Amino acid sequence: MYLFIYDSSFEGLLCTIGHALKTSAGSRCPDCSQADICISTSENAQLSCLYKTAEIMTDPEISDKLYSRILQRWDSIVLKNIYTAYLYPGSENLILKYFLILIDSGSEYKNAIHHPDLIELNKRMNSVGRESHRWYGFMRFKQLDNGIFYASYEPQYNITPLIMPHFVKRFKNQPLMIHDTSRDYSAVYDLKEIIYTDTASLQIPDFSFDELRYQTMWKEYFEHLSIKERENKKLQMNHVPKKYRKFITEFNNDHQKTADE
Amino acid sequence: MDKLHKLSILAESAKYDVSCSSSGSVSRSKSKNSTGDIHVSGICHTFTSDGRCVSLFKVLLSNECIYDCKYCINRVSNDIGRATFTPEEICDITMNFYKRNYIEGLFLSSAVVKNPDHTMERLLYTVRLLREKHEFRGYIHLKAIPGADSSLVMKAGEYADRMSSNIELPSRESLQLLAPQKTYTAILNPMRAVNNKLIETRQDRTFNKRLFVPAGQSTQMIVGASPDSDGHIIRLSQDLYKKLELKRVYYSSYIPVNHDNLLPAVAEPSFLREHRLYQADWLLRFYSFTAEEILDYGQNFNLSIDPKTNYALNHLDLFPVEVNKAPYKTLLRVPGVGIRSAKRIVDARKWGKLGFEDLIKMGVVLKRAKFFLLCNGRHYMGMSFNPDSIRDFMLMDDAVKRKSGNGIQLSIFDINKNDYSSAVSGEY
Repeated sequence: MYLFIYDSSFEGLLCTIGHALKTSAGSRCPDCSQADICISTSENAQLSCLYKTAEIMTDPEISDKLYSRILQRWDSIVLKNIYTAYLYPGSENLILKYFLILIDSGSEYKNAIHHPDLIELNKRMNSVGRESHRWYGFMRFKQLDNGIFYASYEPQYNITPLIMPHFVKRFKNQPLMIHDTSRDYSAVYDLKEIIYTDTASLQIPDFSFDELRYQTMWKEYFEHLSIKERENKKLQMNHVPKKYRKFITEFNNDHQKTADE
Repeated sequence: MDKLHKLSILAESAKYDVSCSSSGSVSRSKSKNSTGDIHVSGICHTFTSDGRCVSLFKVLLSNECIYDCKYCINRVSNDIGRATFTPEEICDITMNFYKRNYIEGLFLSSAVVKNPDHTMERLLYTVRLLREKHEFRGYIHLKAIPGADSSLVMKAGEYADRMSSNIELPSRESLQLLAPQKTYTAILNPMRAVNNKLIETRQDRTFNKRLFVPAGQSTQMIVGASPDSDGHIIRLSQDLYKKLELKRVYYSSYIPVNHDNLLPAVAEPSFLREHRLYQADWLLRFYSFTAEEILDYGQNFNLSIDPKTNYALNHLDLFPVEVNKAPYKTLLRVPGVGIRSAKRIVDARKWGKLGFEDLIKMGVVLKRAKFFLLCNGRHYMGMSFNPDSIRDFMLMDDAVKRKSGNGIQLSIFDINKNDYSSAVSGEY
């Protein structure tokens, strides 16, 4: 039995899976045909005398090779499944299981994700997917003095790389910045490319001249759109849970005050 | 009048339009300076305090209406604030809202100003400005004004993702009574024309790359302002889906905004009836039911049972169905099994036989489905159901839920005091 420890990056995970597949090729558990391998990040690793522990070094060459191999043998949907699952912490062993099922299922690989052993993996992927879809809608950009459209948010998972391309696709003529304030991680788009960077101590400039005007208009519009006879705050709460609200312009009134003053 | 003031008046006037979907469209070709894109599944950007989603910037170009439809808040005889946006103002607000990710696009409608042609021209001018000058590639839902010249409507279709014209009331007679200036012919003609063009565009897609209303058409009707029955309404919807290939029919429960002796006096709008109509509507569109299977003509829905369960209870000879063998279409007919569950079952059973535990793990809700499913020839928990008891079991579940929903703690000691106890105390 092996315990593989990696550095929690996606490349690291791919390298580890590469190693695991090589190792497991000859030594699958006779009962369940699963690999006797446990993968863990260095923070979460629980050392045990039952396992042979190995720390896997991230090698871009190996991860790139596996990356293109996945696309070559299967397709981009499989790759996206793996990446989405990776964003849910602690899913390494399920991802390895997915690989083993994929390999076994041959040309039926599209159905591999529906294997009964992967129900948990599906739930995790849905959870990440749901979170990113919600942020597609709830992200609020604010125009800063320097022209950048800035949005801060605190997603449950590290989905910044997953959702940034969506915004760049539709706002390709605006400099954008998405700031994950809980992880101090940002994606910046400078009209040419997307840069992902750690932003620990970030000074946010003031809003542009027009910004508060449009915020006020939006809030005014939002207020008037509700039909009083059909009020249903509970339904609203189901759709927009509280954790999202502090980032959504129309649920915050602090700017309104400054505009009035 | 400043933009803010106009916005509040015209939002207030636009809010009774139900449609807010931004799904099912096709990406438009992008240029260097274009802004925006569509998202196939649609995106909800926020939810108002009535729990409805806001996806599009839903607004009227003007609420200065010449018509006097009895049910409408914007009718000419109402004393409300009136305002008109200029096309430039609409574009400015749309672009700035869009850039901040408040909205997925624009839903532009208008009251009838001067005459239908003039109004349609203004709408057309506005969307052209937005598409051509501002190079907007987000979603546009445009209202076709009843009675407007069809060439204007056709032209507008080249710029819009979806078009709609509301048929307002579920029958000709009701429309004539409550909206005497509108006629079914004036409403259905543009719909028919748009649909013919849609069919034509579909046929020579290879030659013609220009988009024409890629997200199709929708319509809306008010339910409860006229005596039309549910059976009549779903037959009308079925015709609209089949003959005019509409993508959506929206139902809005009548809310009294005006006082008029021709309108019914309604104390509480029936949102449950609206809900049942939507359930039936889904059965028509996604579950391959026909209106005739769902409800007899002239009948209304039983508000305590959803239409699919109602169908199943009336056709118990078709059930139970075997989870591991039943074709997809049959699984879809089981109450409580939706599209997702049915697909999951079909995908998962390729890997081996499914039992009820597997269904639960997969997230199939068994509350209603358990009565109508067999796994490997066995009923849920080995129970057997005779046709008579299923209905009682279901109603009992609902009664208990309603009681506990009202905050009453269930206890074995009040088993004789409450009326649901008769259901529990073993009449089966």
